Amino acid sequence: MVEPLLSGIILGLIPVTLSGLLVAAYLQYQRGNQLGL
Amino acid sequence: MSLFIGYIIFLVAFFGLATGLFLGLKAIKLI
Repeated sequence: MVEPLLSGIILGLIPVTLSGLLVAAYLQYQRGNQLGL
Repeated sequence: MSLFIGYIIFLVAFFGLATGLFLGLKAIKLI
């Protein structure tokens, strides 16, 4: 029942999401909220 | 092996969407 393709997609999604959140937070931490979001 | 193919599918989809949106929105001067 383990689908390797699906597992690769999910396991890839997690670090990309976490790194994106960290980068967005760090940019605001450095220069304030200039993202316009 | 299939797991890495899944990861590559994800990377292509993710960065494909990101690049496509970026260039498309830039082309119509929305960003």
